[in-house]
Amino acid sequence: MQRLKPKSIPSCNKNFIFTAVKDDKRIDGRSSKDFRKLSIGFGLDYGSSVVSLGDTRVMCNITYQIAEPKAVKSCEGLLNIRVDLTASMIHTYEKVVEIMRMIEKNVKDSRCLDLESLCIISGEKVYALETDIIVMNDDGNLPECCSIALLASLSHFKRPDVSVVEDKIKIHSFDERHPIPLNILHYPFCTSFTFFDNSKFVCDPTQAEEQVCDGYLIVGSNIYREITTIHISGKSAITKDVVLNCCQLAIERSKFLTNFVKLVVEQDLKKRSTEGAEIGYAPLIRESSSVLCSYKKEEIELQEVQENYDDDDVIIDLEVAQNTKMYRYASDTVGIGEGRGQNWDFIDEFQENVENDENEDMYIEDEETTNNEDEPDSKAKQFSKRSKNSNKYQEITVEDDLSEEEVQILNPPEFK
Amino acid sequence: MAELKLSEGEKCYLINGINDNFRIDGRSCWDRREIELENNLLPSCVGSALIRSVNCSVIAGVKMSLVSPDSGRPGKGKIEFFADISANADPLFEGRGGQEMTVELVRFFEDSFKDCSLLDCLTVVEGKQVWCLSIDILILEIGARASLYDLCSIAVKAALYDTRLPKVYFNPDIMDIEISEDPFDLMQLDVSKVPIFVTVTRIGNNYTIDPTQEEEASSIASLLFSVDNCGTLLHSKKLGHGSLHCYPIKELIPKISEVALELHNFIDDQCKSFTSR
Amino acid sequence: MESRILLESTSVKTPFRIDGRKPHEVRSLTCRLGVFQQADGSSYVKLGNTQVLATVYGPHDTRGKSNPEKSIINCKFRLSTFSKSTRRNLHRDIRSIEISNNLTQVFDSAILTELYPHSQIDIYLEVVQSDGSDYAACINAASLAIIDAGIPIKDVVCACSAGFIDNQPITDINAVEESSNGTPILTIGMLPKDKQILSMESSGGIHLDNLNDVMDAAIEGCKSVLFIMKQTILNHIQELKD
Repeated sequence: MQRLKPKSIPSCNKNFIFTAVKDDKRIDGRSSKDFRKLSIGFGLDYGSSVVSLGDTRVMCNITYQIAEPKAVKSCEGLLNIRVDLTASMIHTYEKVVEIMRMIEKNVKDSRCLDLESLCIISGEKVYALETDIIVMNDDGNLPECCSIALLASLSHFKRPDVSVVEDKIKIHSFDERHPIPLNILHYPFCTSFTFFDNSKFVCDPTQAEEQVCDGYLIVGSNIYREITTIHISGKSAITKDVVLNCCQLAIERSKFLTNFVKLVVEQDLKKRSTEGAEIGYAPLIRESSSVLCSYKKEEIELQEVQENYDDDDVIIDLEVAQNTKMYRYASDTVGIGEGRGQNWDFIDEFQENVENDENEDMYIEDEETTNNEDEPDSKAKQFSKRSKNSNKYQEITVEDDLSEEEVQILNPPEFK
Repeated sequence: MAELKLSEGEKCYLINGINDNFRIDGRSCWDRREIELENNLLPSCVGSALIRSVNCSVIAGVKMSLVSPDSGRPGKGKIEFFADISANADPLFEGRGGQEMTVELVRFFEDSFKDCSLLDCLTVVEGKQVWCLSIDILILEIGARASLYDLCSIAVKAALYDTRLPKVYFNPDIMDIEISEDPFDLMQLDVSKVPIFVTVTRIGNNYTIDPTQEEEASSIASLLFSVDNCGTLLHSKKLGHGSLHCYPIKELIPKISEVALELHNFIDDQCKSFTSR
Repeated sequence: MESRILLESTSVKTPFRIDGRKPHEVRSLTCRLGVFQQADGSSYVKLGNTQVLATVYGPHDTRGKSNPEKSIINCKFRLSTFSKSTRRNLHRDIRSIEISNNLTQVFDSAILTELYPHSQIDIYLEVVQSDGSDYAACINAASLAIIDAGIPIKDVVCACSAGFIDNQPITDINAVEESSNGTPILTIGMLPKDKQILSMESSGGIHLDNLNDVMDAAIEGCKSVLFIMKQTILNHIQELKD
């Protein structure tokens, strides 16, 4: 797979960002210490999460295996972390290694996970957790987003219960016995600070800011005011006081993140225990404000009908206005309603109409024709009458099954 | 260390000089340059040595482990070789750049040491447990490739001389071995039979040893021999692209044994002079 | 576990470490410049039992693309197979790549790369013996090698590691202290004159209140290291003059 060349930033962009940072302003309107919107969503499996921080999106999946422990640490489980940056093709292998080591140091060396609880038979069988962190979109601040995803997944993950009978291990399914969550001792989150001109720094940089920065500092911290990891890199030469200042900010941030993650995990686990609740990624794709939504839609408020209206105005029945919502998806696309469930009632109609396919097509194309008495089928007549009517009055009637022809009518050619 | 390019005139001067037994740095054809030897510099290895010549340095380290022997050779220990050229020698050898040379080197070492009597000393319990020595050769600097083999073999022999293995006691009643924990209860290896490599390079009409880079660039080919301390030739290999007549080689053999014996004595003297730990 | 590392001596107030040092003592450091004739610059650093060889080739032509604004720094770090007590395979493992990256960044900021556009400077580090503080020893060795090569650099980059055991910040960690469970370790590489930190790597949890003391310990260690490095450089120059 060929790697794309990283886009070089024009120097006027770079100068703009630098001068803006001096005045504590940024391109997206945040101040230098503001963070972007964070949302976390969980999948069907325990331990699968997607985190989005602004436009940066990271998915983390945790799976387990039964394996032999290391010879040196025979009563501890194994945790294997892998970061996959192939989706954002501009990054070199060195960057992948940097992020992977950062997260490994933060989570493994700080011993935030109690690995001894993952031991089944000391020296022979332990749980080996495989963590895959997949970067779906990179818009800056990957270490923070990846660490949030990893910790959210770890706190969401549940492993099956085991019982050891003589020398045999019995793994109980989730129905037999409740699965057991992992024992997390503390939550170390990474926070990134990028430096411009040595003394000015911003938190939570975007991709553009990261590319033009002089240097960056990544701090891993938890709510117990412990600094789990520090990584300084890049050209900017930083003094000790700046480091201590950033560590304070990082601790504040990680307090917020710890509470947030715990809350979100709790909410999701509660949802699973209630009957009929929608869990997993599927409902998240539909919700516009959720972590997996790739489009944003806003509701349109309908104005009251005026007495005098032009031919250009589209008038909607009161009934329609009260029961259906209108959304604007982009500057030139509006949708009425969101689509309904499939209604297979009209399958008989459909079969009859198959013979008269050609006639139907004619109708869909020629909306102007009002009189056409050549159609042999009665149903087809019905359609043509409807189109005749609607063209005359430009009225929109909504019936229970929104068939294709009606949707055509809803967008008459004069609609601007 | 990139291939030195010499002009025809320089080559001519060099070759004519050698035909008269006079090399460009004043040596005669069979003179070797000074070699410095240092023992026992790596605490993590059971034996180690550093060899430095004019522009070539090699470190050899020996590590030990207990393994079960090969089924065909139950009474012999094992020696494994691993060679690596550090990027310090030349940027060409960054990463896996030097693999060609090291693979050749390792293979020659393995061939020469296959039937070495040293292996008999490494038996612990015949058929069950033997010592396996892993010898790592790290080449830090290279001058001429021809002299590289010689120096590596000197480094290996010196490192083996320096190796101290803990004594192992075999208890036949419980069929178990016990490795002595006493740091002074050590066994020294008998390295008298360890072979040394001698490379002779044909330049013009004469064979020389320890060529410089310029001399190697004007040479025809080199012959590599592994010789033990009795002067017996064990293995040989040809390096380089030229062709050699067989009659001069036959005359060469007594001279090679002489040179090899000198080297063996040199190493023995040097190593003995270092006080043992 | 911790009592193995730090022995509380009852008669003397300051505790001793496992190798007999006091908490703020750096191990004995010997450096040599110009150990290889073929390289443009080379150095050998022995920090306690950690031995590192550094060579610098350059500035020379780039092998691939060149940068028209500045020189490309290529730094490769390698642990030799016999460097630790268990024999290692010479694969490019993650830790070596990480250290190579960090070193490249450090020297990219320290060397005046704008003076050599369209060129490349190679820095190769070989750890012959590893006994803790590999990263710090490497920064020191590379810095000396660059000075030996005559490449302009902002200041002598010095580095030192520090840790925190038994409520005591300690300077210059050795291998035993490094591998003991949960010892937080911090390595700082800095430009001594401006007291600016070029690189800081830490792992294991350090409480924020102690972070200041640990960083101070590392910076003090850097000062001691710098003193010896400067002595070595001056002696070397003196020898060259004679």
